[in-house]
Amino acid sequence: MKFSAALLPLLAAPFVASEHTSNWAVLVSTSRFWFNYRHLANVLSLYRTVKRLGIPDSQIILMLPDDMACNPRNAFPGTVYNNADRALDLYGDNIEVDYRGYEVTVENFIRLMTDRVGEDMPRSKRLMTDERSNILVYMTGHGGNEFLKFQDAEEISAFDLADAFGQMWEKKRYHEMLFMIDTCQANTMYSKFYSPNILATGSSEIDQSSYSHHADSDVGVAVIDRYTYYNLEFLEQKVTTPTSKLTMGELFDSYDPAKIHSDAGIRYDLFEGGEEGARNRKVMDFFGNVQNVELQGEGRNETQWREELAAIDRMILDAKRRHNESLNAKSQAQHIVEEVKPVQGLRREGAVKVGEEQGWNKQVVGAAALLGCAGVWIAGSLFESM
Amino acid sequence: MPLDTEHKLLIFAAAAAVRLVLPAVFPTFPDLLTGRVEVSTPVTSFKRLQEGVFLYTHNVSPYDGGVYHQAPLLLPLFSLLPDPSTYPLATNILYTVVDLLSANAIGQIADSGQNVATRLFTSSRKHLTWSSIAIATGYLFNPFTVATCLARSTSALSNLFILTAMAKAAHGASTTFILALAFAAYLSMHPILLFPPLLVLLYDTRATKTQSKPNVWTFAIAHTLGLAVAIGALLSASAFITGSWDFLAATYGVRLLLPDLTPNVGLWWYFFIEMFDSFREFFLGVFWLHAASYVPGLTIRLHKQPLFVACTLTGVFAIFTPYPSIADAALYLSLVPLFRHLFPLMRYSFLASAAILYASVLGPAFYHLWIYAGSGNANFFYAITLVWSLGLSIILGDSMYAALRDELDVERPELQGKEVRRI
Amino acid sequence: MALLSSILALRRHPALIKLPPYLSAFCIVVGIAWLLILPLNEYSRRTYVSENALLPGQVHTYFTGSEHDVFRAYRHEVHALIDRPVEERSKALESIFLEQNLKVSTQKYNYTVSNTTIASENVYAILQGPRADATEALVLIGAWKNMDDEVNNSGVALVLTLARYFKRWSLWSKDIIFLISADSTIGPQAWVDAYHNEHNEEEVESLKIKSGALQGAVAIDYPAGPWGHRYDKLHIVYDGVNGQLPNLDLFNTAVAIADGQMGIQCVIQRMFNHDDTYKERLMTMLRGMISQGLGHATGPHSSFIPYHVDAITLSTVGDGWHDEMTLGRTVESLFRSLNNLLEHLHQSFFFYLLLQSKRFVSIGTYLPSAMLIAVNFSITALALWVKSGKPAEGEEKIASTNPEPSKPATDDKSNSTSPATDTKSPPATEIVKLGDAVTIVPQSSTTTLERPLLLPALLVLTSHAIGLVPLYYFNTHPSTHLRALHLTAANASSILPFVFAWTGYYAPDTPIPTQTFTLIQCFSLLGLGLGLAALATLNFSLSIIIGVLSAPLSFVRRTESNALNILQLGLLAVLNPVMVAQWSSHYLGADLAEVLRLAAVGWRVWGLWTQVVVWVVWFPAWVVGGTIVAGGMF
Repeated sequence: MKFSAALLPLLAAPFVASEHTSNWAVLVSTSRFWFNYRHLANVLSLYRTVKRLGIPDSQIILMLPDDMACNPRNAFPGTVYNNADRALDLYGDNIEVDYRGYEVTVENFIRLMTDRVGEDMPRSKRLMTDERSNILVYMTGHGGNEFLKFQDAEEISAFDLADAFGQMWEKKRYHEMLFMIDTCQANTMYSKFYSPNILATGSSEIDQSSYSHHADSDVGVAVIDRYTYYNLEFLEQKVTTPTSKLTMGELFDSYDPAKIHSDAGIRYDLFEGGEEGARNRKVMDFFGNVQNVELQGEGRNETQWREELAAIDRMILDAKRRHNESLNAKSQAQHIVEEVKPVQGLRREGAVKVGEEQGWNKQVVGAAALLGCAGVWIAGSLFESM
Repeated sequence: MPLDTEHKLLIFAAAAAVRLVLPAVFPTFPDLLTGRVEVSTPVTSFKRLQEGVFLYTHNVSPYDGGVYHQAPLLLPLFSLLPDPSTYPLATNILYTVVDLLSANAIGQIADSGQNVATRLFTSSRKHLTWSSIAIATGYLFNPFTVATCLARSTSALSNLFILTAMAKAAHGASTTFILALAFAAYLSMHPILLFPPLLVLLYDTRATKTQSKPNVWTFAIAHTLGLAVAIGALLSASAFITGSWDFLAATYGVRLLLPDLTPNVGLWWYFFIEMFDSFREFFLGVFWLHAASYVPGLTIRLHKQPLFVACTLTGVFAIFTPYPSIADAALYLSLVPLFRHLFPLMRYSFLASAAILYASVLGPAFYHLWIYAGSGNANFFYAITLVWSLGLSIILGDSMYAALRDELDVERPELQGKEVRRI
Repeated sequence: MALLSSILALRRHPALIKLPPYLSAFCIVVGIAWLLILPLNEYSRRTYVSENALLPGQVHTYFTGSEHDVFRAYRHEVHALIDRPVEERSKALESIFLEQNLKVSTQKYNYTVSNTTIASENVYAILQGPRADATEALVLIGAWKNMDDEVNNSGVALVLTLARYFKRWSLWSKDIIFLISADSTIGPQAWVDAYHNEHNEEEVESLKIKSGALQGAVAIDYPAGPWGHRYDKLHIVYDGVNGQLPNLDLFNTAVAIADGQMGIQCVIQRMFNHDDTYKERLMTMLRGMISQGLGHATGPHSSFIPYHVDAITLSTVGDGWHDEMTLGRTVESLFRSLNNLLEHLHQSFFFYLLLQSKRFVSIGTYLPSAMLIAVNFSITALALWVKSGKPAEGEEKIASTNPEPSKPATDDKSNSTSPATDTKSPPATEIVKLGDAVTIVPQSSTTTLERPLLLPALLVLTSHAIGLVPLYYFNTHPSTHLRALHLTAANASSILPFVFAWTGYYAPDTPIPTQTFTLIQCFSLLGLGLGLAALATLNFSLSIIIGVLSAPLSFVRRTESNALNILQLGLLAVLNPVMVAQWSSHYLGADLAEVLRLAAVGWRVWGLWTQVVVWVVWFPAWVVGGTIVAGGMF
């Protein structure tokens, strides 16, 4: 028994390394304003793709700082397009935005990644991953050397990002991660990563800009960035079914600097197995969903299971009873408070009617005070002249 | 003397005429000035005072709403006057009288002769002075004073009490000195820092007058107690009028902690706009400590010329307090001519005057570019306030140099006319 | 401290005292040369749109096809209104806007300038952005009459057509106001004053309906008649009142759209055939500077700029092949760009000189020239100040240059001066030790005289106050008598220096000392330098024009030689501000009486302060300079 327990992790190790049990995606646009339409279109395109490949909404965290669909400048209200042919409305009727508007901040992003959130944070805003989850992190916006702007107000640095991922690794919050970023000087953003099992790719090298692909002359703005466009082209045209066997290597090989107008970068060194290991990962390992189920423990029998079920039932009943009791108690407490309230009295609550109550009284008091001052002064002068 | 009195009357009448005719001819002019940040600061603005008076007469605490930051006793005073928007004359007369009284006080200071010859020190150039009328004229026709008066900034009142306190101290009148200084401190807080040098001045004049030296400690303690009692009485009266002690935080608290960062001609606002909140308290402390540190330093080093110390401190206030305005500069610049005998020793007078002149022309221009034209920004205006402060501090430093040099000339006559160098 | 005292010692150096006039002249020469090199490629830049949100020319324009028929119909309707009274015209325009389902209102104004009444009526309509929050608005202006007093027939029709066309779009993030002002300068001023509640209700009617904060304004000037006219180029007018300019981004966007998207060439400052040579660039720049310096309204857009609303006028010039629909599409595209704005235009420059439609010089590059010219006055003032502190007798009586042992000095780097108590005979001398060379020099060259400042200061202030008199008369005199008034002013101002000099010479019991004259000139130049430096930040061109024209004031001196005096006076007579108005308007081909009338209109209606600068800064300085020279004649 002891022997087998000691052996188990060793046996499990290769299995764990290659398998994951859930797929998550964190898709972030960091810029707002109408002329940044394309950044939101980028993110929505990716959102649509990963959803098509099977990641459910509950496992996608979508951060959109602005609402292009409802912007008054939008000539096609209620829609967002990523192509001038306007064949596909990305907004559709099934979009679940988890963080919107001014909720998209550096702090919220890091809290989300490291799961340092309050107790009342809804599940839809949490990244509930574990050490068997593969995460796709896609970011787009305006950036520079080792920073990415959030909403023109703040920025996240490459170090912040690296530390957040480092913490995630320590907290066993991911198994493998694909980090994609489409911004100017994007490759600098992943240069500081140090935690293992991250495969990172970016749109442009240091001192390079990332360009938009094309503009829609009716919408009046650029609708998608080049790097994202060619990623999507690969994903949409080649990865047609969830059973696709295409590898990340093939995706990376499709990057053509002549088309993207910048040198897309890939960082393999953190990944287990290095370049080869990373290139052999399937695209579906990050962009699709797996339904691998791993059974924990062995040797349990059915009675044990039923007993546990009964115990849970009892716990539920117990909890219900306690809840009812507390309800009663609360109503009593409210009674007491209501009785106390009038005793406390309200000071300056509600609007006060401002009427000019000049009142001679007040004027006289004021005049008396002033006269008093003058009187003291005269007395002082008299005293001195004596 | 009758000729002198006649002159004085003539000049005072002319000054009063300027102050009363200008608003009558250009009725929008006072309101324009009232809105200028150079003239009206959050703690002296007449507009805010009117707001306070309105709230006061409507039985709302004047400090509700965080607009009014001035002393409570001003409220009954101005609520007794007719509404300035319909009958501006009454208010104008009040301010004109205040200015004339200030000019009178400055004349008394000059008459006392304490500027050139004190108990312990007599300048070797003591004959080089201007008459008290000339100095009072300088105050009355100083454009900054006139602008302050027209803008009806309450710093005119503080200036009156500061000047009166100096005059009373220079004439050895203890009671009124304490009262005047208490009023000044009550109205704008920082004049309390004038107490040490003016106390020395009072001691000197009393000692010369009575030909006997009163005990230093009894003298100091008695006057400090007197001042405390006077200020205490004023504060109690204020609390009685407003019905609570809330005014302390709204008046002195604002002056100390600078919550209102409206631009002004001083150095603080820009600095505290740019500052991270976590450092705010620390730098508030540092700034105040710096401003206050001149008091002991100057009082000790120049204890033989206490009037000079007091005047120099008004210059320090005009530069280093949180809400300075041109009124403070007007006070200082009008006190500088008292030390006419130091002028030959001053070396940068043209430079300093040119700096002040340039700043007073370019300041409004840059403010216009920033606020109205939208083509400039805050840095333009701040740069000019730096030049303004530089001009004032050149005068300040240069006059201190001259005063020290003057003392040296008396102590070591053989060094007269020689260049000095600090080693 | 040590450094300061050595600098202080340095200021007694004889070479330094001789230097200022050369330094002043150097400043002027460099200042002017600076201006002349600006058109070179090395000192100017290509324009670029720096506001990200504008995205000029990125949209398809759909103002074509059937809109053309609508336009032609409106053009005829407008044409039919030309000879109608104002009320009827307003009614008709109102009803057109009403048909388009826009909110309409009118505004009457009635100014009295130089005893002449200027009265008319503006019509405006507000298109509320269907999904906008009504906090911001753009203005499209079609003045009924353009700057050349022609009826803006096609321009107004185009505004009406565009109003109808814009109404059908749902993408406006701001309201759009269509303003048909009665003329090009006064009507828009009345309207924009009332929009910002800055109007005098006795003269200008308050606006009954309003929208949000104005973000930009575009005026169309297209005076083609009912049968149309194909034009060649677009003339973009951008000068605002008092020389304020719109944000360069607005101008660049207009050029980018007209030139880049629509293929219409853009020209500026009436340089219609710009071949981009140095000479053409310089001419364009100088024309721009004169226009800016005068500060007058140059089109319907001008009145908007002082309210910090960026505005331009697009006017058609020449005979070519561009038609009204191209202009309409240009405006459409421009409005789509402005519609994209998220905040006030602020990214680009507010101070610039344009050399052609795609090249500009920014303030950092050109400001030094005006500052150098302003500084030259300050340098002379400083020199005169130093001079006024020197006794009048000659400095050539140096007793000895032999080194001789002297009493020990505490410091041998700085000049050690002593009161020279041991000298017996006049002239008083003292020992000066510089390094190891010791000289005995007359005390006069090292001591400083006391300067009585009150009289000179008062005289200079008075001279500036005198300037208010002509300012008052020129702005209140009936327009028919302005020419006569100008003649009187020219005569009076030419004699004024002599009168002052004569009074100064004969009136007082004791003649006024030379020192006083020196100080008067010193203060006057200090004031001029100060005024021009401040002005350079507000209206660069006016500052440099006045600076160059009054440059001789730095050099005129009182001399004993009559010939030199006459020469100086002759030069000054030509540069008398009143005379400058005369010959410059002649040279620029403008009618003087019209210039004076416009100046009065500017003062009363536009809030122009060019005249204040002329009469209160320039003229007094000139009078003082003249008086100084004339003093030598007595």
